[in-house]
Amino acid sequence: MQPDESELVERSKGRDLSAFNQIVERYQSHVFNLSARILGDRAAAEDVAQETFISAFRATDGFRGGSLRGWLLRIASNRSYDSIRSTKRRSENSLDESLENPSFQPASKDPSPEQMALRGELRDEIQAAVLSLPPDQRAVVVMIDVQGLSYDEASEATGASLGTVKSRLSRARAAVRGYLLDRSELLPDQFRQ
Amino acid sequence: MIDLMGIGRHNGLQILLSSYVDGQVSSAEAARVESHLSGCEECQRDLDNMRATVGLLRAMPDLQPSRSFYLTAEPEPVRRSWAVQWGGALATTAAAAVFITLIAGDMTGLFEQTGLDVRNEAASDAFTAVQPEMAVASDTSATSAMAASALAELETESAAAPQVDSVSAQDEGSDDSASDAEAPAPAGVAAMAAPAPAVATLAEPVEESAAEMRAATESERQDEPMEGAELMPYAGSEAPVVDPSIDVEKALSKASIDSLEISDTSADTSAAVVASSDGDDVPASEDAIEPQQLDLPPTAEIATVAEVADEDSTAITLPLRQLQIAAGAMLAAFVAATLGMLVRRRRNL
Repeated sequence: MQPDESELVERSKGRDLSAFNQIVERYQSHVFNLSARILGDRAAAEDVAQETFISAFRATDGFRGGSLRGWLLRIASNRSYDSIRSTKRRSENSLDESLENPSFQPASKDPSPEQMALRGELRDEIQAAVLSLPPDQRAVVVMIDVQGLSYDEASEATGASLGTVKSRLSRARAAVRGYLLDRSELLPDQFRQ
Repeated sequence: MIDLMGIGRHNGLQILLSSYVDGQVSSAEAARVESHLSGCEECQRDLDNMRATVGLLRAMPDLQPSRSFYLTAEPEPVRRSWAVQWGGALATTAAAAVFITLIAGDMTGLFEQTGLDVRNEAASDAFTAVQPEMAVASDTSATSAMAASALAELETESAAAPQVDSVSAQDEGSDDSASDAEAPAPAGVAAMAAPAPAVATLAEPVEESAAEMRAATESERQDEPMEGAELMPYAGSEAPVVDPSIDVEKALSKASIDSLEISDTSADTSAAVVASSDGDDVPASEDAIEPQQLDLPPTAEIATVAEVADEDSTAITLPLRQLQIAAGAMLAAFVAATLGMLVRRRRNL
């Protein structure tokens, strides 16, 4: 947890809404992206993100330190699992059109070369490959490979042991690789081996 | 054929390769991987494929939500009404109280069961419980019958004293063997001739108590075999052999019923039941009689049996088994609902 975050957390425990909103501002993109990648549905992801912060504000007394981002993402992943169970509409090839909408392209104004090289169709297939995974593998590969969390943060966010995180990540990567190879014409040459 | 990174062949190495890509391995593990890779082209290819896949995933762009998620007003705490908050606990407690009351009432006899099956069960309980009394009653009535027949015999013939010893010898073993009771009745009767006066002196009060006990069998009893149990009249065809040395009053108040002798078949059955004092052969084990606990009053007080039986008829009549099952099911449902609420509440955090 960043140094100034401890103060924000303490003020949030005292029901200081302005302090908590600073936490929201810092982590809302992480929370939303995690939910969106897990659910493949922007609208559902926004609902999950809002519910996540409401629950987090009510439960700040239960935060015992450690990674605040990991704590928030754990709430978000649990909410996402609940959303998956309630909707029951995951299939290997399903992909919400909103994720393909060009108007929702990279949030960063200066995308990396790798992001620039990634065509829309390929991004869609990668997202579809992620959605083909079981929820527990899906959360781990999104946290670590898509959002850049460390193994320890992912362990805290999922509530799983470090060994379990490594195992799920290995299987997820293998499955994504296999999914993409079935559609190898989309892969850049350097990725087809 | 798609090679899923050689999972089938080097399955144990795949997790290590995945962690190696991220640098999340120890020095020893890294050395092991690199050593293996130097001699395994397949694993080297798997590692390259994995790195490419990770690269694609990391290239996925951040998504921009259509709105922010600031909290504009303090969310209302999840505050349930008092009834909702405490209703579950109260309902569970009430269900538990009802369930315990039904069980306790059944055990203490406060509640009577209704229904034919229940009545049959209770009747068998009463029958089983009656066996000690029946043993006593049969002995008592047998004693009175013996006394009466002995008196009759005295009028017609003289006693054969030597027979007394043989009968006594038999009777001494009669505590453990019902077959001894089938000793020739005339011998037994004759044996009674000598001590007939002593027996006769006891016959009258014993006869009175036996008559009262038989009267007590007319009253209905469905529970509490220990108190005022229904007594069955002795139905033997032959007068049992009774040791004249037996103190009838003492026998009636004797705690250990299994020492009493039964002569007829029904009495044999009851003796077998009584002998199993731990209740194994008793139909309703929970109501099994422990002979040691049986404490029959002196003969003069046997008349109170009927009165006790009448008193117990004031027990509350209920469809007890059905209520117990329903209360138990209700309790289980409330406990499950409470646990479910606790789990959901914990998950929401």
